[in-house]
Amino acid sequence: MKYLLHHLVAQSAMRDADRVAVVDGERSISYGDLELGANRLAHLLHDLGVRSGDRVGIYLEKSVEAIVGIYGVMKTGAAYVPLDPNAPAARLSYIAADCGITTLVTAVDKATAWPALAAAGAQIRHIVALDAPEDWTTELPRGAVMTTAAALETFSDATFPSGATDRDLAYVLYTSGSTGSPKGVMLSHQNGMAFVDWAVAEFAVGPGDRLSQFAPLVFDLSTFDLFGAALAGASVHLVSRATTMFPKEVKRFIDDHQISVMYAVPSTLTLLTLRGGLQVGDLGSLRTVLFAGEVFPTKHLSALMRLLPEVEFANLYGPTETNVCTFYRVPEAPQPDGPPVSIGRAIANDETIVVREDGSIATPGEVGELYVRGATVMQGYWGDSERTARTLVANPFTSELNDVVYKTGDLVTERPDGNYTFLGRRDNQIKSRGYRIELGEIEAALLAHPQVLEAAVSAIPDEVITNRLLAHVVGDSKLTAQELTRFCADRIPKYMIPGEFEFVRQLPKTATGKIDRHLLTQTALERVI
Amino acid sequence: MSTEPRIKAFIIDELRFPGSADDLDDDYPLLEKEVLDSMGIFQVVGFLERDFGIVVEDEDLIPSNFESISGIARFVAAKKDA
Repeated sequence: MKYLLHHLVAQSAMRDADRVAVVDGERSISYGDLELGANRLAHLLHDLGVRSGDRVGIYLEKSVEAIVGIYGVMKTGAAYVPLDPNAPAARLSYIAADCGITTLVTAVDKATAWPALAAAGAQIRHIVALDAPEDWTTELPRGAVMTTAAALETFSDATFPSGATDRDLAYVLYTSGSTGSPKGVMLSHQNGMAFVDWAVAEFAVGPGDRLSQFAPLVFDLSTFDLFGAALAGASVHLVSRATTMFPKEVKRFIDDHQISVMYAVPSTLTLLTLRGGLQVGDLGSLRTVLFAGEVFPTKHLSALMRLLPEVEFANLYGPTETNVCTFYRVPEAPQPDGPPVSIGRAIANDETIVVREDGSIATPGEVGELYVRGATVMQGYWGDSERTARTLVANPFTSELNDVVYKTGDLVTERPDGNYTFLGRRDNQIKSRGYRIELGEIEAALLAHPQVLEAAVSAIPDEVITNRLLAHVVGDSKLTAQELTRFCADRIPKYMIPGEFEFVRQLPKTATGKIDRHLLTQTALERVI
Repeated sequence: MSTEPRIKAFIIDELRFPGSADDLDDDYPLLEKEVLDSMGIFQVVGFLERDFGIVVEDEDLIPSNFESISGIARFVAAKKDA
């Protein structure tokens, strides 16, 4: 029986308790111990008052503890909310307040940031510090109580009787929001399960597989690695941030851990191709490479596929709101100068519809917005019914009750073979290093600076990271790029901070008085080229 | 100017170190604190090749060579001696 994501661990533990579940550097944990650890944490969290429907923050580096935390939280019936360990405290405190986090699962190395997490009004009552010694003390958010590792040990590891159903939320993932604040995408157990059920079957993941875990936990790519491995009874091998940055280290990691299935953003794979020193036939343990999150530059994909001729490659597509909704198996290395590879067609249990500007269904070859209906589609945005209502709409093509579709905002065309070609966005959302970024959120951060009068951010296409960010700023003549970088660093994650700033007297405007983004980007592009 | 201050100046001026310059001592963990990301590393590589006349090979792209200002300086010194 498996309806809930934590059932996957229980099931794998029952089949073979000693099988390795998670490998974190020199450390590892078996399915049996992961199940017991998650039970223990669930009993503790329940004792602290965590109940079904609550949200619990996971504020940890990628680690065995973080994985125990994720399953422990889900066992209580609560949803886990991963908090990016490198994001500025202001952003995390916004998220904590936005979804009402009152309990945090964390570790001592994050302690200096704890007090600031309550700054935006979150009522943090309990801090569970998984590695804190019994007599250890530190400054806590006002009104919060800390639970140490020793206290955790006093709780039972018997199966926690979860009251959740598959319709309940399993996790809330925050992504960049166009109005200046991140938004929480709500995903149920059923959403996550539908995706991993499909992925594990489609790519025949089995107990003998070794999955890498490149994506940060705040990224929906991580759910394939974690829950896919748990479903298959395979092991998942956590990749540190430092490793991801060095192509040779990535190669070494894959070899050392004998990774068989790898899921990563194209930026990581491009660097591996360019600077990994790969020879044809290297990385012999790999059988499947999955990529998602941004367009993979065709010449780099082509080169990588020629270096790894025995490996199957697939492009997975889908905004966080749908996790993955279409996929494409790349049949052979594409021509290096060819167009980007297709995003494919709908995965099992999702349906896709291409809708023209006038609201009618597009025929193959016509441009339209991709709508998705099905089991992987999110429940909505946390605490934002208005935004939810704009993107999660009644299916205009049926009269069924409660039949909703998600409007992706992505423009596609259907090719004659039934696969989709991704064309771009309808709005100001861009991708950089696989991260989804709303230019409006960066502009809002810049405008918060007292000396900035106007700000617009352009995305400049880049071969390796998809887009670089260029800020155009109108403001006080004493403003410097250094000062604005510093200012942004307190508000938005590093990957959203513009790499270049230009200070101008005014921004070009359209006839209706709006900032002329098209002209700004065109002018910037001409200068770069 | 010796190696360390030139690297520090590069990180502050070109990579726009967001914190206070006083915090950026020679042992400041550049990778752990995300001062350097994958693009930043390549910017540093370009700087080292240009300003110190060394050639950085794929093999040299390992965390220990970029973990701190002193790590980078040690790497430059080893390259010059080689």
